[in-house]
Amino acid sequence: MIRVLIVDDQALFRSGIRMLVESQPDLVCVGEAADGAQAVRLADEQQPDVILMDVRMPVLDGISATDRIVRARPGARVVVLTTFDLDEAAARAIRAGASGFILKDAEPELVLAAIRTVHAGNEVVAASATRELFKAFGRQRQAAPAAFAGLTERERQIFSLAAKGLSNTEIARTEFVSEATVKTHISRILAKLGLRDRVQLVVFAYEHGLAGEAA
Amino acid sequence: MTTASAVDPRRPAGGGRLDRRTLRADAILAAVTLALLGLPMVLMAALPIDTPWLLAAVVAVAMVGAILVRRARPVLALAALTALGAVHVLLAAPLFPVWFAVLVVLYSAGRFSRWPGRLAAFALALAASLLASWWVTTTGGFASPGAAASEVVRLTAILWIPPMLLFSMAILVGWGVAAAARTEAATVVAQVSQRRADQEEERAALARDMHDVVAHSLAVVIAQANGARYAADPAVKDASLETIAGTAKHALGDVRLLLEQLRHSEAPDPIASLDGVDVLVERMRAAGLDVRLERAGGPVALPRTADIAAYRILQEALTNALRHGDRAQPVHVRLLGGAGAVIDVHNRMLAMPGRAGHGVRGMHERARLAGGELWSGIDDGWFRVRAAFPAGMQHPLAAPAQGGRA
Repeated sequence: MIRVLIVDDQALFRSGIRMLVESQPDLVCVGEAADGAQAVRLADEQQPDVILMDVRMPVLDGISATDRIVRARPGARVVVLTTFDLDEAAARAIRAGASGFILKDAEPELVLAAIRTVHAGNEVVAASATRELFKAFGRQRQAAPAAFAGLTERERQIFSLAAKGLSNTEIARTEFVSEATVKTHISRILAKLGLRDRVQLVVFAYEHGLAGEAA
Repeated sequence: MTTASAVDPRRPAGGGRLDRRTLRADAILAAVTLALLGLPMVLMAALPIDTPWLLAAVVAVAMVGAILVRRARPVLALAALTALGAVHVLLAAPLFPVWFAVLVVLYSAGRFSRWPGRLAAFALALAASLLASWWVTTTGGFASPGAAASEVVRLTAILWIPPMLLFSMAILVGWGVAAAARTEAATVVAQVSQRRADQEEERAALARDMHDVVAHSLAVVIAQANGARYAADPAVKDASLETIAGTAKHALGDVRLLLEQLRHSEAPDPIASLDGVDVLVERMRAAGLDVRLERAGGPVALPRTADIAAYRILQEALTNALRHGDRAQPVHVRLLGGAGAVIDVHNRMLAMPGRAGHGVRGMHERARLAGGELWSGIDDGWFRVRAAFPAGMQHPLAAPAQGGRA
């Protein structure tokens, strides 16, 4: 069971999402929070796996709440809910440690898929939308840091495929290796670059001009 | 400030550009000059005196021409009149009306030209008054034909004073009018940019409101509809549909309110003044707000900027009451007039303060810019706004010269 926490300042929005989450046999809603401070408290009490987080909220906003939650428990995965697909706040939330973002009006199938995907950690939610987001609000491009030179040739190949948003299964198929191998490579790459998850890898690749410009 | 490009405050307003109205005014002036001064001059010359009438006709036409170009080419008009004056004096022709045209052109040089033109005008005034006084002294019979040169100089010096004063006066009056027009133009520019800033602010506020209402309500509607699609329990589906209908209905009401506001801000608002309080209160009553207006201290007499700010603050406070307050309860408005003005609005709040707040910041800003002060806050379930504009204050942006009118 994936434990889900829903954070939004509109009670009726939360109850709609809750209905959707509760309808799934593998998901359970462990709580609702109306602001960032409540979210931080509930995340500590309920140990949710995935947190659906609104950005603009009273008391404590979604960006600061995300920051505090992932700092306290690196295993927690946050998915940011936004109204616009180019929302600077979403970019800031991802920098603060969110694993991805989806639109509030996304299809329910996509919302459910996003919860499962960030929990499994084997794929990035909406990789191309994430790149667009950082194209609009990203920092100045920088040269790749020294750590990137520490990757092996093989790791670099897998890095660029993951940066394009390919899942472990897709990478395994492209590179004729097993999924377990891909998973091992990915976690080694993340460790070497000091990144916490795949979405950070996408952002890292984009901001250092390593994304493969065709994407 | 891009808006300044339309009216350059450094350029004498009205100079250079000739619109149809100023052209017509000058044509009338020229026609009157021709009829009252030019024609008699020509007729006088046509009489069997010693002046060739053709010269008089040419001088009359030149005089009229100088009046016609005095706005666009004040320096050219000045040069033309200098020449005519020289003709008058050197040929000793009976061309007295030229001096009237000199006055008009000197005024124009002061009014429509810049420093070089004005200095040239003073030079002409000096030369013309010296020539005129010399001419009157020698041919007007002040000095006897055989008088000594020193006597002529003495008389010329005395007779020089009145025409010099008259000519200088003409230039200085023109100059003063130009300065007043320039200040007026700067004031208009300031007002236009202020109005534009206000409109920007209003538009931004409306966009925010629109987002708050539309985006939030639609997010709820979508989430509830999706949730209901996935929910197994029919009772849950029913409750969802009810929520969707309720949310949409509420949002529609809010959108209507916003559109109403938009219409108000689009319509030219000639009564952005505390004089228009009754109309504003009526409008708010029509929108469903029970406004209780109470006045004290006599009529309000605020400077215009403070008056506009006070009116807008009242309008904002009432609109907030309409949108966020409890409409079942009356809104109390107290208006204290007299030397300064105090506006006091309090309305009952709904249980949830909600997302109110950005309008309040705007009110504080508005009051501060107009030299007043504003307090706002929650007092035992009542939302209270109190704005005070002291007596005898001056708009901080107004030029000192404009203090009396601001």
